[in-house]
Amino acid sequence: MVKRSLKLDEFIAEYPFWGEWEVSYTDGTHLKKCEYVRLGELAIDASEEIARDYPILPFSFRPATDQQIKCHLSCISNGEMQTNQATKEIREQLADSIIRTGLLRPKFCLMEEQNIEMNYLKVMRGISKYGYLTLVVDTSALRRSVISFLYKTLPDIQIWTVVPVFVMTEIQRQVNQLNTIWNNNKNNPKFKNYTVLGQRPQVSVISRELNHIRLRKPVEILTTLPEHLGQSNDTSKIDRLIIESMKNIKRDRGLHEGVYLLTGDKDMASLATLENQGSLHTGVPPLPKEISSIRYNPLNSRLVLTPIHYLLWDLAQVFSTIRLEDQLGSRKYELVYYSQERAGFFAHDVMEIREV
Amino acid sequence: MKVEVFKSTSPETIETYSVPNLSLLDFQVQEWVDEGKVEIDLNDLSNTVDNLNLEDSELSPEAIDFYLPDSLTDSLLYRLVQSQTEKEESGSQSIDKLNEIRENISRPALRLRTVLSAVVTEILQNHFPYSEYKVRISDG
Repeated sequence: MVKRSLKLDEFIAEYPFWGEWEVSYTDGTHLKKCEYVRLGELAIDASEEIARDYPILPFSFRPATDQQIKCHLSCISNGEMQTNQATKEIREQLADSIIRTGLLRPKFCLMEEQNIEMNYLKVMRGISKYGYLTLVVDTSALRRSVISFLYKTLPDIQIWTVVPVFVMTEIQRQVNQLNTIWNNNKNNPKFKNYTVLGQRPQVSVISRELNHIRLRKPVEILTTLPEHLGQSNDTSKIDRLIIESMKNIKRDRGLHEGVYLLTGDKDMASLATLENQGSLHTGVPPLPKEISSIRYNPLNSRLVLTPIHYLLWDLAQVFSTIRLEDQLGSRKYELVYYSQERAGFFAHDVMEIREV
Repeated sequence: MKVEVFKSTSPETIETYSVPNLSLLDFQVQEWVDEGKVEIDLNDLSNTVDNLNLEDSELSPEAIDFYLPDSLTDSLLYRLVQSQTEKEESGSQSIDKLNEIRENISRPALRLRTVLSAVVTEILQNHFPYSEYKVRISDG
């Protein structure tokens, strides 16, 4: 077996994909070594020759249906209720990966004073009208990589991202929990630990998002008094502290327009609006049966193409080990994101590719 | 080509979607070409596009945006240009040559159906309820 550790750009340049592939995952925290759960199918309509000349080609992805996932899980899980809950978690994580990698665009709802705007084009034009944008983000917005989406969609707008320090303390707490689960279960996986699928992106994806966005535009980690950090152990208190951070920024810096709370939590967005703070809620659209890697951006009339490698990379960050099998049976890869060589969650964004 | 969305009750355009490098001629429907435009209920748009005979049609390549963080796109394109240059064994490293390779990589041939589906998907996400809207497709 050939093993290589690669960065994403190296993976794209050196591993061309063509034909049809089955995608499944295994995860040492809750699945035994030989157990794989199907995540979907990929199809790239191109020959090997074309794929070698154009490594970034259009593809389509058919996510595994509820029924297909349940079918795999029913003999592993402890009862129907756990099967249903795990299936829901897997489908939600699939949807989030698809959004993060630009195959589907997130839903947006702009809430300002008495107005609620849900039309995507009106929302985008609404938040662009000042030419700058200050976004106070919470963990849910960062884990969906919404800032990256806005960078791509509104390239001419000056975006200043503010990350309240409570978001970072939340990430640290998640790291501790994930390490405990890993240390307690590495040789004895228990299916109930499937919940790590929802926790991992909170750490690894947010870390990736922060690393990418701060390379292009300002990202400010908003600190606070040490005594306030002790209050950040409970979700409702964190929400409150984030909203208060936003008010402080506006007051201290004399900003009145173009400042929004960016969150995936509808209640938090509504609460901020009640307190006269503009908020931008981001949601997940329903997962279609088949998704194309080509999107049309109506704001600049250009086509957007997601590399297949980016989706696979994100899936591996969430699901730990992704197995890819060519339908013709000639090629098989395992993409292992959390390999033993990797030094923790905040290590460099490198993945181990195993040619099986 | 442009796709204008308007309410069924009024011909006034609400939103215009420009699609560069695509023409009514590409649809291979003589009636549409003769007329110079076509109007379709939003309800029927998806079906109409699905039923067009476009299986093998490809668009001449148009520059597209890669959905990747910008820093990665830069390093990736640099890497791809280097490997293409080595493959061609021309030894030429002139700026023009490197730019040409870079441009080629950013212009993969796309199936007409794929592009059209992307535009239709976007339009359908933006206008509700479908029964209240129509689209007018024309070259303009």
